Amino acid sequence: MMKTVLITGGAGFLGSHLSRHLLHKGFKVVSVDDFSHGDRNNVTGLRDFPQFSFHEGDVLDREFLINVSEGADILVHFASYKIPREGNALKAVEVNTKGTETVLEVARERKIRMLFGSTDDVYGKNPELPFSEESALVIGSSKSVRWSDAISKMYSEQLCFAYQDAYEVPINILRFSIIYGPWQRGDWWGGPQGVFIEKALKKEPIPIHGDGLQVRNFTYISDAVEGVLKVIDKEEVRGEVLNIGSFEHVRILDLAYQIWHLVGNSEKPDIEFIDYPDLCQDYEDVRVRDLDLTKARCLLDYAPKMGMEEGLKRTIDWFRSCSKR
Amino acid sequence: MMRNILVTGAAGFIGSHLSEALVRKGYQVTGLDNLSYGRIENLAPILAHPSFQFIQGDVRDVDLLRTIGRSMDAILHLAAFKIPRYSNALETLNVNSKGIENVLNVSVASGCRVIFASTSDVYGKNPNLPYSEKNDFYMGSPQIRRWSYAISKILGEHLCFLYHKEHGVRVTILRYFGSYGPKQNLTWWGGPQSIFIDCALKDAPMPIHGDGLQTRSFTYIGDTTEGTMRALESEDASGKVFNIGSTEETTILDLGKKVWRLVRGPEEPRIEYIPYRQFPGRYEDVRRRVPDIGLAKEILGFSPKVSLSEGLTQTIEWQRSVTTSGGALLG
Repeated sequence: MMKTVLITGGAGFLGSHLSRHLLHKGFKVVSVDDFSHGDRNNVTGLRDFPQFSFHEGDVLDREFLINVSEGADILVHFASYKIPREGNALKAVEVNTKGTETVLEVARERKIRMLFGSTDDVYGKNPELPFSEESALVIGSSKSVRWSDAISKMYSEQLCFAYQDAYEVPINILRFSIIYGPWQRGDWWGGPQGVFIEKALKKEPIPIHGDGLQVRNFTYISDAVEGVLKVIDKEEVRGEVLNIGSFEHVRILDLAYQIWHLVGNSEKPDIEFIDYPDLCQDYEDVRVRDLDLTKARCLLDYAPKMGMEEGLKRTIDWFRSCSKR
Repeated sequence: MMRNILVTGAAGFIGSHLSEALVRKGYQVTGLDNLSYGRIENLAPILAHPSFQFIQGDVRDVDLLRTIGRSMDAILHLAAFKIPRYSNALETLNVNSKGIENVLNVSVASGCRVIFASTSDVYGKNPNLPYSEKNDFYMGSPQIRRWSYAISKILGEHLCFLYHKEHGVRVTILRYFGSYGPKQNLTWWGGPQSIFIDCALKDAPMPIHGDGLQTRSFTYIGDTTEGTMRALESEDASGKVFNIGSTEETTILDLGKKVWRLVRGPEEPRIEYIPYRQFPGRYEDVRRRVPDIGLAKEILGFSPKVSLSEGLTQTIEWQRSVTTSGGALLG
């Protein structure tokens, strides 16, 4: 009897890819999304699978989640807001903290596992690299909205462990680096790749925040999905925090150049540097973010496979095919 | 003109001192407490005062707070759970985040000011001392429960600033550094000095966690109250964070020795070292903790006045009187 996985944020980038992989492996998938940021197109193709069901609803709606989780064996909680600079930060904090609480309540009531999608942003400004799961979480002033997202995730992580302690809800925390690939969003919500590719295809100037010398760890979507699948498969890792990332750490400026050339543009790209003060008040960027994947390798045999160039090519191909439609 | 003040956590240590100070200064004070950790005896001096009203209730109760909050000019939000090992991390996270959220929502409706009691624990393991309000927060792994307290308070601070930005709530955040004094809680909840005094009075060994060389800046309650009153009455405190604490740094070991000497004279102090590994679950201590109080001095005119020796002497006197007058108060 194959297991049933409920995914919140199921119409999002990661949620919809995970759904597809699970369905191909024979799992039943219950996908939940309120389409605040998820895309209807992301679930359209999944509806062909008989073991797939979709429910439109809010992750803060406990009764709704209880109803749709009937028969679920595991809850994967990906629904969240990020980058409050683009909108209502208070709403983001509320959705992130209360969403996690609601999902944990459901896991408690149903007595099932819960996987929480966190972020490497919780390591914040920690200068000691790479970040292992034991690294300190270093964040800046509470006045800066830039940290609201990270603190909402840190609070959620604490809440996961608190539920595990108090109610024996088996939990896992997955800290993802920036994920990219086909079906990603073309705006900043989806990370720099989408924005850069869109601009490069149109031969428009590429916008870069700050000096572009920030370094980030990027994970191709199939590697991120592989990490989640391994955690789902391996119940023994419950109670663990796991970094899910890649070995690719790249300067943002280099990423812009690489994308510009992979698209086939011959000349040099125009870079439009955007000062942080223009972006939002008190913005603080993290210079270098990189993940130590030792724990995921040891416990899960997790090994990201996709190289940056190949991953970008596939992503560019997908963006091209979209623009033709 | 500010007149009506709601103090949440009023029956707690700091809350009761503040309630009393406010009543003495002529404010109309409503004290809210669910008496989970607060004690009604703490409010004995003002319970019958015409300017004081006590309400037993939970700070997370939306309807209750909305009703009380309607006529308030300011809310001093002190109600919180602090040490996760005393109840559990879940209660700490829940009470601390929902309490402040409820208070802020009331403030949106009534337009009252909010003073949010945060903690020096938000600076966590930050090695850069002294801590100014601009310092980063260094938290540890979520598998270590002690961080649930600091993280719940950081979330509270974010909510304060977000309500300030998005709803114009006039909010001030105070980061307290370890307060002590008469009426302090007589368990670890009240801090190590509370336990040490009790041991010294009973001639029992004082339990010291780790090597005792971790430092803290203990702040006498009179100074904590003073700083809070100044923030409340300041015209320039809105939208700001202030460290409120003493800059007299002491190791826990020296604190123990000092307490012993003040209680028992020159005899050799009895000390029992307790390794952290005897704590349930994983634990991480903070090595040093000292505030930079330049901002509170500049904007609020705050400067702590009571030295550790002086404050401890008064605290010991009080603790001697309550512990010898019967154990009933300890419950």
